[in-house]
Amino acid sequence: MSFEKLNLKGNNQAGDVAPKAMQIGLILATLGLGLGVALGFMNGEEDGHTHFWFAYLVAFAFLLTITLGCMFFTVIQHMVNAHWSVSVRRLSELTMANMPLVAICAIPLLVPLFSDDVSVWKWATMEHDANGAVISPEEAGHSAGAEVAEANHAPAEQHAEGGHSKAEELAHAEHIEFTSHKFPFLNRNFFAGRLLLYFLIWMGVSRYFFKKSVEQDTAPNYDPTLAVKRKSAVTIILFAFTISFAAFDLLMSLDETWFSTIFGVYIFAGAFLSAVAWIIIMSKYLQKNDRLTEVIHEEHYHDLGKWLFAFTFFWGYIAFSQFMLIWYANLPEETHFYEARLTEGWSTWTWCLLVFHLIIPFGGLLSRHVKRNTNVLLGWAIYMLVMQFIDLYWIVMPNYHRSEIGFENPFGLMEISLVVGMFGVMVFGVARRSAKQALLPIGDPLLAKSLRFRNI
Amino acid sequence: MTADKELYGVVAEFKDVTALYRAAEKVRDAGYKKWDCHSPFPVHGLDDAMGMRFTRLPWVVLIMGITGLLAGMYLQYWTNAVDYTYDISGKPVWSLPANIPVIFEVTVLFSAFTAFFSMWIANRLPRWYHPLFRNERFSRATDDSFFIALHAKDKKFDLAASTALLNENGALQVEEVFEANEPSAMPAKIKGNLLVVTCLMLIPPAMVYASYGSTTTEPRVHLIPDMDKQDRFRAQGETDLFEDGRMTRDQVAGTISQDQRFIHASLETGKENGEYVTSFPQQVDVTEAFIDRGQERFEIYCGVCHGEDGKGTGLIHHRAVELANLGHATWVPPTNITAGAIGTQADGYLFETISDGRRTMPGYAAQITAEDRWAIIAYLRVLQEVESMNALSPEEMAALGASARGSVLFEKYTCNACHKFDGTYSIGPVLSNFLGSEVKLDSGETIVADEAYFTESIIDPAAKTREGALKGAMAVPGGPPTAEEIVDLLEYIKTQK
Amino acid sequence: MASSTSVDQLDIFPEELVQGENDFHSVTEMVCGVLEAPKPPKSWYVIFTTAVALLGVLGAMILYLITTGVGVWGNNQPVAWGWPIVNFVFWVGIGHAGTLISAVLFLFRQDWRTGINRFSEAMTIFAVICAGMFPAIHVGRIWVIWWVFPIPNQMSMWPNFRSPLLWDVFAVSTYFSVSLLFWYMGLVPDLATVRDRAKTKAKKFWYGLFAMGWNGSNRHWHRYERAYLILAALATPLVLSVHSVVSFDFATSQLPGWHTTILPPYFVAGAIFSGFAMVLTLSIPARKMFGLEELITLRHIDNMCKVIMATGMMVGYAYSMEFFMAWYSGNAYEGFTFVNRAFGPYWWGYWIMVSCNVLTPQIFWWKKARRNLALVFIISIFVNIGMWFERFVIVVTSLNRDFLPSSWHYFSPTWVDVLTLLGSFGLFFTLFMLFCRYLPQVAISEVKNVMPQAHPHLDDH
Repeated sequence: MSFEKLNLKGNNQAGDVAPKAMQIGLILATLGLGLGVALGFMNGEEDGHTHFWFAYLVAFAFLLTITLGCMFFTVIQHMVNAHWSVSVRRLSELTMANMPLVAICAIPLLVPLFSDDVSVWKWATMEHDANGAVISPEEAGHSAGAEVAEANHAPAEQHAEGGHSKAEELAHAEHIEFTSHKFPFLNRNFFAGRLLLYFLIWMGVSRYFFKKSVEQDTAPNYDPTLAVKRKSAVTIILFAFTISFAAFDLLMSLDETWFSTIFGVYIFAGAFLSAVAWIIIMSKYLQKNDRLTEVIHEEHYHDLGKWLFAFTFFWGYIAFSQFMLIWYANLPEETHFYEARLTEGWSTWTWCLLVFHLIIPFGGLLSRHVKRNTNVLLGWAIYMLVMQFIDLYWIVMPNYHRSEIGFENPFGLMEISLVVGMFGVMVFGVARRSAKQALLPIGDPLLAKSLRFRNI
Repeated sequence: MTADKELYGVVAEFKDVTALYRAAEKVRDAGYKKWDCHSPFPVHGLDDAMGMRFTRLPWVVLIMGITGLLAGMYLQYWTNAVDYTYDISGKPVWSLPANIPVIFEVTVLFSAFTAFFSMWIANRLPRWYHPLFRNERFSRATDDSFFIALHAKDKKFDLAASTALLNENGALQVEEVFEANEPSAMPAKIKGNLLVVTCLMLIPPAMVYASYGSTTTEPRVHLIPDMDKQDRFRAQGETDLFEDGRMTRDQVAGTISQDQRFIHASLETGKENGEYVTSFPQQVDVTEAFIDRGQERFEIYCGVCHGEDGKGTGLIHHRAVELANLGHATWVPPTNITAGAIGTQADGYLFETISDGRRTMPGYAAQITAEDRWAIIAYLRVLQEVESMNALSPEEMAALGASARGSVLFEKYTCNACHKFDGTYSIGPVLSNFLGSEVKLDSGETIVADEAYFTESIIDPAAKTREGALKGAMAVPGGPPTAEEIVDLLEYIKTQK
Repeated sequence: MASSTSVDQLDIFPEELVQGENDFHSVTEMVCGVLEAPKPPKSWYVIFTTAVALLGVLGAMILYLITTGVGVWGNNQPVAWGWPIVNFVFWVGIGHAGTLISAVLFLFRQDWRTGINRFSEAMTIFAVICAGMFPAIHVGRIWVIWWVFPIPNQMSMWPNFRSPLLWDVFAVSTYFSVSLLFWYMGLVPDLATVRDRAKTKAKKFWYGLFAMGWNGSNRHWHRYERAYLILAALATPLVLSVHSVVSFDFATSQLPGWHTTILPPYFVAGAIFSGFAMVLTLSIPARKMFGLEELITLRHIDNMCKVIMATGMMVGYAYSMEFFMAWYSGNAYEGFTFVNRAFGPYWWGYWIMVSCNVLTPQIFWWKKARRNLALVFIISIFVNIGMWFERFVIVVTSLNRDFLPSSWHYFSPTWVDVLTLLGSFGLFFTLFMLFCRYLPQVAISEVKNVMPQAHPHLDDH
C-alpha cells in the first residue's frame, strides 16, 4: 500500500492549552509536595520521618505506575498493529516521555534507603548489628540463628537487656534468620543499582518510541513505524521483567519475608488500568479545550472504556487469585500479608478495596451506553485513578509501624497532598512536552483506519 | 398448479449490499413496518437503514446473570453451610473465597444459556416452514444474494405500489410469495403418533410415582454390587453351610476363644475360696529376674504416685501438694507401702489393691497383666523387707517411752501421710490442735473430740464423720491397732503441738 | 514511495483475508464443496481409519480400567496423580485456543479469526470431551461419578464446594456447554447455506432440522449478533476462569512447585500456547486436504505463530518468576523442587519441556519461519509435546519428591497409561474427521462478512 498523507480536521496542536496545563501541574505539584513535605517533616517525629517516606513511596508508585502503564500501552499498540488507538497514542507517548522526570522523583527514595534512622525497607538496616556496624549476611544469619536457638531453650520468663521481652527478641532474631539469605539481593547498593538500571531501560525505551513516533509525523515513508514495530516485541519482554522486579524491589520487599510470584502481574494490572484512565482524562480535557475534537470520537472512548472495564476485571482476577491461594493454603509465611490488612485499622480499607475497586466499577462499566457517554466515562476514569491510589496505599502503608500492638492506618492529609503533588508533576511534565509536536501521530499509517472504525 | 392460498408478500432481489442498503432506507422512509431484509451475513449499518430498535436481549441476560450469581451463592451456602455441614481443614462452612469460582461459573452459565435461548425465542426460531422458502431464487439468500421481503399484512402494503417501490430502488426482480396450499394444522397421523409416544413416555415416571412411598418385600434392585453385600457373620443370621442353618455356632468343646484365659483363681484374683492368698500362686516363679521385672513395672506404673522408694512421695504427690497449697485441690496422699502396716497385709489383698484400686487409687488390671502384678508385689515385699530391717524389734519398742512408741506406730500405720504436724499440707485435721476441740458431726450434733472419739475413729473411721470431711478418705491400713498401741498413739499425739 | 521491503510492509498493511479471485458464491462453493463431495479425499480415509482404530484402543483401555480397577495405571503413593491428570490438563488446555479465537479475537475485532474460528471451536469441543473423560474415569467408581454434581443422593450428602476439584467440575461443564452453544450458534447460518444447496432429501432434512429455519432475516441477524457478542464477552472471562480453576487444583495445595500465586495466569497462557499449536497442527494439513488455502491463508498461519510466540513468552516469564521466588522465598523445599526438576530423576522430562516450550518457538521471530508451512507444522507438534511434558513435570516431580524423603517414590506409567493417552487422540481425531466431512469447516457467513464486498459503499464512508 502506498504512503498517504491524511487531511485532518480540527485543531490538533496543543497551542495555548499547554502553558495552561503546565500551570495547573505546577500549582498542584508545589502545593501538594510542599504541603506534604511540611506535614511530614515539621511533626518532629522520632522515627526519622519514616511515615513521610512511606507516604512518598505511595505517591511515587502512583506516578510510576501510570507512566509505566502508558509505556506499555504505547508499545503494545505497535506490537499488535492496533489501529483503533492511533488517535490517542500520542497522549500515552507524552506521558511515557515523562520518564526522566519520574526518575528525578525517584532520587529522594535514596534517603530512606541509605539512612540508618529511617526504616522503610527494613532489610536495609538488618545488615547492621546492634551497634550499627555492618556485618556480612552470613554473620547476620548465623548470629541470628544462634540467637534463635538459644532463645528456644531458655525459659519463657527470662528478659533480655534493653527492656525487650524474650519473645520480641526471638521474633526479631528469627526474622533476621529468615531474611539474611536475601541480603546478596536485598542490600542497599544492589537495590540502588537495580533502580538505576530500570530507569535507564525505561528512559531509553520511552525516548526511542517517542522519538520515532514524532519522526513519523514528518517522515516521507513508513520507516520509523516499521523500526518501532520490529522492536516492540522485545521491548514488551523487557518491560515485563523490569516492572516485575521494580515491583518486587520497591513494594514487595517492604515486607521482607513475604513473596508472591504474581505480584509483578498485579502491579502491571493496576498500572495499565490507571494508564487507560489517564488517557481518557487527557482526551476529555483536550476535547473540552477544543483540541482533537474531530479525531477522537465515541468509538475511541468506547474502546478505552472496554479496556477500563476489562482491566478492572483483570485486576480483580489477579488480586483474587493471589488472595484466595494464600488464604486456602493457609501458610503463615504467606498469610501475614493479609492478616495485617485485616487488623482493626485496615480491614475496612480492605473491604473498600474489594467493593469499590472491583464490584462497583464492574457493574458500572458493564453497559455500552456508559462507555459511549464520555462525561460518565470521564467520571469513572477519575474514580479508577483514585482507586489505584487506594490500592497502592493498601499495599505499602501496612508495612509502616509493624508492631505487636497492631498495624496502624495513619491515613491523613500528608498522603493526599503528596499524591496530588506527584499528579501535578506528571501533568506538568506532559504539558511541557505537548506543545512541541502534534497531539496525535499525524503520520501514522494506521491513522486513517483509526478515524473510521466502528464498534458493533 | 392449483391456486395457492393467500399472498404472503413480495420479495425482491438485489445485487449487492449497497443496493440493499439504499433500498432499505427507502422502504423505511416509506413507512413500512412489517418487512425484512435477508442476507447471507449481517450487513453493517442495515439496522439503522431499516429503522430497527435495539434489542432488549442484554437486559434479559443481565437479570439472569444476577440470578445465576445469587443461585450459585445460595447453592453453596445451603448445601455446605446449612444442610450437611462438615469441617474441611478448618475452613469455615461458608467460605466465600472458596465459593467464588463456582459462583462465577454459575453466573456465566446462566447468562450464556439465557443469551442463547432467548435469542432463538425472540427470533421465533426454530421455524422450519416459511413461505419465502417456496421462492426458488430465495435460496441464494444464504449464499450470495440480498433480498427485501414486504409482508402483505403491513398497512402500507399494496401489491402494485410496493412492487413499484422495490423496482425503482434497484431490485433485480420482484416476485410474489404465496402461502402453501396445504393446511397448516398438524396431520392427524402425526398427532396420533405423538399422542401414543407421549403416553408411552409417561409410563416410567408414573411407575416411579406409584412406587414412591410404597413398601415391598422384595429387596431393591442392586445393579452394581460394589462391595455392598458381602457374606459375613451376622448374629442370628441364616446360612446353609451348616445343617442347623444357623450362623451362630456353639463353642467347640475343649477349646477357648482367643481372649479367654484359664481362670486360675489365685493368679487372676488373689483369692482362693474367698480368702486372700498369703503366698504367691504356683504359676509364678519368684526369681531374681521376676523381682527385677516387678521393679521395672513398679517404676513405670506405681512410682509416679508412690515414689520410686515406695514412700508415697512421688512426682504426682509433690505436684498435688503444690496445688493443694494454693487451694486448688484436695489430696489424699498415696500410701507409704514400705510402712509396717502394709507389710502385714496379705499378698492377695495387695493383689486386689493393684487390680481394682483402693479408695482413691484406680485399678490397674487393664494395664498390668496378672503375672506382672505378682511381680510388683514381689518387689514390694523386697522394699518392705528393707524397711523392716530398720524397724525396731519388739524389745526395743518396749524400751521406748509411750510417746516415742506412739511416734513409731504413727508411722507404721501411715497416719503421718494425712495428719501432719509440721505445717505442711495435711488433708486430715492437725491432731494436736484437734484433740479436745469441739467438732460438728455429719449428723448435726456437736461433740468434743476426746480420746474416746479418737479411739473410735481409729478403729472405725466411718463411725462418726465430721461435717465437710472427705468421705472414705481415712483408713488405717493393716489395722486396726491394738488397744495398747492406741494408747501409745494418743500419747504421741498429745506431745505434738 | 516506500523504501522498506514489501514483506515488512505486511506488518502494517496485511494481505487480504480471502486470497484469490473470490466472491461470496465461490466462498460458499469452496467450503460446501468439501461436505458435498461424494467422497472425501483419500487422506481423510487414512486419518479416519487410524483414528477409529485408536478410539477402539481407548474403549478397550477404559473397559479394562473399569473392570479391573485403577491399579492398572502407574499411579502410586506419593504420585497419586499420574498420567490421567496430566492428560486432563493437556486436553483442557488445548481447548482454550478455540474459545480464544472465537471470543477474544472477536472482541479485539481481529477479522482474520473468521478463517479458522469454526475449525478451532470444533477442536475445543472435542478437546474438552477428551479432557472430561479423564477425571471421570480416574475416580475408580465411575458409576457414582454423578455424586460430583449437587444432585440429591441416598446419603443426603452434597459435594464439597470448598474443593478445587469441584470447582473444576463446574468450570469444565460450564465451559463445555457454553462452547457447544457458541459453536452451534455460529453453525446455524452455515447449516442454512448447506440446506439451501442440498440435493438429497436426507441432507435437506438433517441440515434443515439443525438450521432451525434460518432465513438470513436482518431482524434475526440483529439479535443474533447481540447474542454472539454477549456470548463472546462471557466466554472471555470463562476461558480465563476455566484454566485458572484447573490451576487451582494445584495452587491451593501446599506442595512446593504447586503452591504459587502465578499459576492461574501462567496456566491460561500455557493453554492458549498449546491450543494454538494444535490449531496449526490441524489446519496446515486440512487446508491442503480440503482445498481451503484461499480461506486459511499464510496470514492466518503467521498470526497464529505470533500468538504462540506471545503466549510462549508469557509461559517463560512465569518460569522465571517461579525460579526467582524459589530462591527469594528462602523456602528450602521450594528451592529444592526447582533444582530437582532440572537435575532429579525426571530431568529428561524437564529439559524436553524447556527446549520444546522456550527454545523451539524462538524460530518464529523470523517472518520467513512463520510462513514456512512445514516448519510451522513441526514446531507446533513440538510445542504440544513440550506442553504435555510441562504438565507431566509439574504433576509428577512435585509429588514424587515432596517434604519427607522417606515418602519419595519413583513413578512409571504402565502400558495402559500410554495406550489410554494414544487412544484419546483417537477419540479427538475421529470426532474431528467427522466434523470435517459433515459440517462446514469454515465460518462461511463470517468470512463473507470480512470481505471487502461486504461493506456498503456509502457516500460518507
